[in-house]
Amino acid sequence: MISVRDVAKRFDAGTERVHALDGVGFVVESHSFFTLLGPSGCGKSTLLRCVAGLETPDAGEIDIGVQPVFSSARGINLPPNRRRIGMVFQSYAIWPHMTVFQNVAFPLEVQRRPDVRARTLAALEVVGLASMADRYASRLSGGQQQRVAFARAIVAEPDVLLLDEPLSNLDAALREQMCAELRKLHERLRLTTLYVTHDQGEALSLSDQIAVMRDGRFVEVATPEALWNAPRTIFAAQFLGGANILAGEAQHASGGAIVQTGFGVLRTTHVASGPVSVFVRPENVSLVPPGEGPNRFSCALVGQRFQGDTRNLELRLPNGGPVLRSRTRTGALPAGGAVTIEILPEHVEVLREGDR
Amino acid sequence: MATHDIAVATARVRPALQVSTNAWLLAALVLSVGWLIVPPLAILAYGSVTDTPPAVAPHFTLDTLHYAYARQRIWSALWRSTLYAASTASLVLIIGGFLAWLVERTDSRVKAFADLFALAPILMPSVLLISGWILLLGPKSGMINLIARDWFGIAGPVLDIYSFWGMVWVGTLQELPLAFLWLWPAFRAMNPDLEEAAQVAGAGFLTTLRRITLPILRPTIVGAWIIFFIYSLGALSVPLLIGLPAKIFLYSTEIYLAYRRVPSDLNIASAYSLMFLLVTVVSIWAYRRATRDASRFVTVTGKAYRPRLIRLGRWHYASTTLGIVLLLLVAGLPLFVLVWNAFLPYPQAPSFASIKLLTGRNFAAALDYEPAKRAVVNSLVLGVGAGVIATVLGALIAWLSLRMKSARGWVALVDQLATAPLAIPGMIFGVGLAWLYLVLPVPIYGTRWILLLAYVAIHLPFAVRICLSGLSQLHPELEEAGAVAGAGWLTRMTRIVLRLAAPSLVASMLYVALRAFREYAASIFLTAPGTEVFAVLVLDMWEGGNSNILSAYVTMVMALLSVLAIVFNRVGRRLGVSA
Repeated sequence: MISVRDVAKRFDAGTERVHALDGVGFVVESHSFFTLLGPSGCGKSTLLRCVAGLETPDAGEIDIGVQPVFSSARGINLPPNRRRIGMVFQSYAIWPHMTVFQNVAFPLEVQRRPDVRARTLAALEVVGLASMADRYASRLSGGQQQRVAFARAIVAEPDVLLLDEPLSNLDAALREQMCAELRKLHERLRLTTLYVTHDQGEALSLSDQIAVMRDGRFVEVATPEALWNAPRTIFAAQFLGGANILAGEAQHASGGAIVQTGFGVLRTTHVASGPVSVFVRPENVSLVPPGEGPNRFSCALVGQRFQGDTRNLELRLPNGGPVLRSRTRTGALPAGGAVTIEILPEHVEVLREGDR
Repeated sequence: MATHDIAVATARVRPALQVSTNAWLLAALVLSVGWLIVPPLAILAYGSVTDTPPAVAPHFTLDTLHYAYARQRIWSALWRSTLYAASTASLVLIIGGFLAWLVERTDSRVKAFADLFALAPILMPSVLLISGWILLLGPKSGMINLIARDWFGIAGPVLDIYSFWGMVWVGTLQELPLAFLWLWPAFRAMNPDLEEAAQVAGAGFLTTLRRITLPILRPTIVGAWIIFFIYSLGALSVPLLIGLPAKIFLYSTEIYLAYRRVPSDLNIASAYSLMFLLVTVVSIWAYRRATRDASRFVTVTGKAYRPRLIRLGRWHYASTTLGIVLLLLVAGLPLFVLVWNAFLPYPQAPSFASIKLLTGRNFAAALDYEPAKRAVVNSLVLGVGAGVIATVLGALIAWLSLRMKSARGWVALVDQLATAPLAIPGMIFGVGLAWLYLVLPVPIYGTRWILLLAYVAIHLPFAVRICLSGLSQLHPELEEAGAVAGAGWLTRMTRIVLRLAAPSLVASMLYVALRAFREYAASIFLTAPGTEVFAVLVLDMWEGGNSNILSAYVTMVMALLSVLAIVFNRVGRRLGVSA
């Protein structure tokens, strides 16, 4: 278990002090996979490094298991080498002057653990690198270095595993594969894991819980499904999946509500009233044959981008107003032409907290 | 932050060790580096306002300063020094810059032996270069003048080294390799697109040079000029070996003479040194100003340049000849004349008759001379000692300035203290250290320890720079991974940092050792019978010795140095490979 309470840290940026972390608190339950997700500069790596002891917070408390590792009030600050953690770094940080075996054995050696050889080989077995034990680590490919780093992080059976954007240096295909392996390893080892990433795909597929961060604060904490289907905040809705956000005025109606927005009147199956923000995922904006109907609009095409499996469209009502994005399977459309779209009422989601 | 650094005892946990380790280290470095650099300079002010020798109750007076600066003699010496330093700095920049341009921006074949220019100053300490040129251009027994007399029947000397321009000539040759090494990276880093854009716009070669190339390189050139101006101003070997016999007194000569006077007048020497320090401070200020907006001229981007080389065509032969001639001037000829003289009973132009005279007696005589042997041993021991200590300090300073996140002001202070000696003439340290340890009740004056202090202080900037360039290659996460794995500070240092930075640490040790071996400017104020060092002994041997025995002596020392350099290089390379 990791417990973080009211952790704050500021950096000097020239003359002004910038909040890297602004009173953050959360709990990672034992054996669960917790992800810090956010754009670069949101403080997620700083937070992870505070848990590791590589950065010292200005205030707050951090426990790992039952052990307090940092407490500004009690003057506790355990150095990283005494926190019983495993960590995979963004650069992997594989020591180039050691072999694969020596890299992985290092934590056992410096912690004076018994059975160094057997445990090291077992850890290498877990990541499938037992046959490369005697290679110099600097001669490995990116994916192999990643595995060595992972083996080194788990070899001493740490209380928690910290992963700092471990997949960001891999190419797309390998990232996909490692992501799947990481989840399998987690299901097998059940280590309490804190993961940092800016990639929503990794966060959604790996995590038990995701914390969306912005400007040193938590915006929202939820399970991947909840975060995707029912985000409470505009930021989370947009950061995950780039949703269309429309502000409007809702009125009760049979089977849900109708919302007056800049994009016309939208029918939703959700219950709402008063000023609200609604969001529509681009993949739920579909092209339909011309005709009348609820949530059907005739729009002007103002831009399109071919994405391979899909095409991204930018649409606007003939009389102006906000741009709506759609992701759909279609051939090339005539530039500036008119199209008809439909949004099913169950896909018009209402944000519970709106702007925050 | 500070509140977290305070140790609060709890039953189960200890506060962060890491923070306090770095803080202790920083404090130790501030004290030790501060002690190395500041008191020897500060005591010069004390010496200038007293007229009593060290270790006597001081009598404070302004007479010393008045006496020092009231006379015309010192001002004309200062003027001559300025002229000498300005001429030397300008010449080395023009020749060195042209050479760097040839190597980096043209298809000249000089490129093939450009590395020899880097090696020349290692093989040829400045006292040897000067000795060689005296043996070449001495008015009576210089080889070139002897050849003119014996082969061509010219009676008087054709060229006389003992003149102001003789000094500038040797001074220029002495600093030429350094100037080349200084400017080479600047030419390498310059984006050729900038010049090509000018040519596309319609500018010819000379217009491009005048309107684009030189303005872009201006901060580099001005900065280098100031550095070489300071170097030449503070140099002591040319003024002593050539200027003194020629009765051309430079400012540095005056400091030396004040010190050497019997009884030695350290007060006047201090007063003179103060002026030197002032000129240095002004020069550093000018250097900072000149290179201040160097970032405006940043020409390197992430792109890897493959500069289009200028084709020399028929100028190939001229450029190759120039390269060979320069190499002969900075190393080949002086080396040859030293070795030649080492085997002769007296200076001779090469001829069939002279070949019959060849003898090994000079070597035997040199080996019989006890101080000569002692000097080599002393210099080797001191060189290695200074190399190790300076590298340890330099590596720690470099590591802290890269890794320590708190107390940045103190880290910057240590860094600036450690790099200050780069611009402070070695002789100033010599005078200051002599004063300091005559005043303090620490009995190291006249021992090897005071020389060690001087060598560490003078060469610390090089150690910091070399270690910094090595350590900055190490990703901080390599050490953080060690911490997370459970390794403490010392384990991380010895098993990760030290191992990965070993090649640059060895390089730093070797570089400092080689430089310390030839140091004379500070040593000359600090040696005593029994603690002779190599370069000072060579200066002494010129004063009252036989130049052929001297040649034999330095020939042996150069051979020894070459062997040692090769061995160390091998060792360093092996360490580099395994790391």
